[in-house]
Amino acid sequence: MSALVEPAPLTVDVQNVVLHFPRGRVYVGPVLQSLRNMFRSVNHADNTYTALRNVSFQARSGEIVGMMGRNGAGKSTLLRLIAGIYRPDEGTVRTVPKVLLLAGLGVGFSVHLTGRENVYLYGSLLSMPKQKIDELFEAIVDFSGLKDFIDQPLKTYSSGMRSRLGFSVTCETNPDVLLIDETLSAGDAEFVEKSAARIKSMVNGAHTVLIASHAYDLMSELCTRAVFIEKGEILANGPVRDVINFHLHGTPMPDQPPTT
Amino acid sequence: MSSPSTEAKPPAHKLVADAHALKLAAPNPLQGFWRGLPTLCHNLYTHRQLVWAMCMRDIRLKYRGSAFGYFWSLLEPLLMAFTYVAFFWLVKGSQDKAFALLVVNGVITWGHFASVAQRCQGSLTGNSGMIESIYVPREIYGLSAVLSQLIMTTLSLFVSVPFMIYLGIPPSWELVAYVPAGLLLATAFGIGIGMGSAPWNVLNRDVEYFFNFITRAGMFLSPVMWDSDALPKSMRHIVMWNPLLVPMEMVKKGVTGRSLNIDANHIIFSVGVCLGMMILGLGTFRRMEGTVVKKL
Repeated sequence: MSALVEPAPLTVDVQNVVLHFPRGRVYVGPVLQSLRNMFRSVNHADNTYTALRNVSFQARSGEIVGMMGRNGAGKSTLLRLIAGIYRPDEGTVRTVPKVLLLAGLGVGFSVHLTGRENVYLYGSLLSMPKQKIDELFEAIVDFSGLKDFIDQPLKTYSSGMRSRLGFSVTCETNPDVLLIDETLSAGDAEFVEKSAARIKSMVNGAHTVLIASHAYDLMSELCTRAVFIEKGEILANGPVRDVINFHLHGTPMPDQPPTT
Repeated sequence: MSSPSTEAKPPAHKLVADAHALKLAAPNPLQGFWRGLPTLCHNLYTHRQLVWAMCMRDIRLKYRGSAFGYFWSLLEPLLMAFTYVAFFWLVKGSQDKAFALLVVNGVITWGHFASVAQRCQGSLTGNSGMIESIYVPREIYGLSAVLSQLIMTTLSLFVSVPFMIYLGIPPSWELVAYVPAGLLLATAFGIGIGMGSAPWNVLNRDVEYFFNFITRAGMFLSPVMWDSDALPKSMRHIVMWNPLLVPMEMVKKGVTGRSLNIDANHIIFSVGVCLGMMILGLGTFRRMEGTVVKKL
C-alpha cells in the first residue's frame, strides 16, 4: 500500500549543517588573528558567531514551506545556504540545479541599466540562451505590469516596482526551487495577491517554494508546511497552524511524524 | 495476460522522482587549490554567455553619460602621454623622435595592468548584490571585467596608428607578435594580483587603498617614461626584477618595430612570474571566496 503513496521527489536536502560567521570589525584570518592575540590581553578566541547549529531540513517538489522565526534567528541564512551563496562549515547541502533566491529589492540588479537590460542580464546569470529570454520577455513584462517603464533605468523605479520586476523575472524563469525572503510584502495588495496565485501555480508544476516572512496570514493561506527557527535551530516542523501556535502561544507540537 | 513491457513500466511520477533524485548535488561545491583550475576553465566555458553579457554591461556603463563616449579610451592615454612628453621635453629635451609613441604605449600598458588588477580586486565587493542573490562561479565577476578591459585597451592601442604613420614606421612582425604577447602577460599578472587580493579586500578594505598607492608608485619603477635600453648596465639588472618590465617593453618595442634587446633569462623570468602569479591568485581566490562571502 505504501508503494502507492510514493513521496514526491526531494528537491532540497540539508543534513546536519553548522554555519559560523566571522565576527568583529576586521577579520584578518586565523594566522594574523593569533598574532594579534599574542599582543593583546583580550581573548579573541571566540571570534565567530554560529548562525546555524546542526540544522537538517528537507523539502520535496510540490511543497510551499514557510520559515518562521524572529529577526536574526537564521531564516535568511538557511535560504542563502540552500541557494549556494554560503558553503556549510559542517554537514551537507544538496539541491536540484535551478535554485533561485529572491531577496531584498530584486536580484542583484544594476541600477544604471534599463529594466530590459536587467532582465537580459538576469537571464544570462541563469545561463539561459538569448532566444529563451526573448520568448519569456513578454510574459515577464506583462506579469510585472511595468510595460511603460521597461526601457527606463532601474534607478528611476520605486522600491515596489523593483520588487515587482524581481518577482516576475524569478517566477517566469521557472526555477526548480524558489526561495523568497521577505519580499512579498513590498508590492501593493493587488500584486501580492497576483504573486500568491503565481506561487500556487508554480507548486502545481512540481516546484518547491520556500518563504521566509513574518506575514503569518499570507503564510497560513499559502504554505503546505512550516518550520520555526530559533537561534539557528529548527524547533518545530509541521502543519502551518501548529507551528504558528507553537511560536506564538508555546503550544507543544502535536505528536505526529514530520511530513518529510 | 498483459504484455510484460507494460507491467514492468513504473508509474509516471516514479520516473520523475528518479530523474530528480539523480540531480541532487551541492550547489556550491568546494574545490581545491589545483583542482580549481580545470573546473574554472569548464565553468567559464559553460557560462560564456554570462561572461559576455557582463563584459558588454561594463563597456556600456563605462562611458555612460559622457559626450565623447568611447572616444575617451583614445583621448585619455593621449592626454596623459602629452603631459609626460611635454614635461620631459622641458626638462632634458628628448632626442628620440618616437618618444611620444613609446610613452603613449607605456601609459596604456601600465594603465591596463592597473585596471585589470583593480577590477579583479573589487569584483567581490562591487558585485555583492548579485553574489548574495544567486550562485555562479565567482571568478566570473572579475574575469568578465578583465575581458571588457582587454577590449577597451585594444581599442586604446589604435591611438598609435597616427603616430606610426607620422613617423613612417611600417607594420612589422614585432607588432604582430610582441603587442598581443605583452598585453596578455600584463593581463595575467594583473589577474594574479587582483584575484589573489580580492578576498582579502572583502576582509579588509585597506588592501584597496594600499594598491591604489602601488599603481601610482609602480609607474615610476616601470618603463612608462624610460626604456630599459637607455639605462646603464648596473641599473638594468635591478629593474629587470620588475615582472612587468618585459610585457611593457614588448608592447612599446612592438609598435616601434624595434628588437626587444632583453636577455632570454629575463624574459623567461618575467613570463614565469606572470603566469605563476595568475595561477597563485586564482587558487587563492578559489580557496577563500566561500569563507569571505559571509563578510560581504
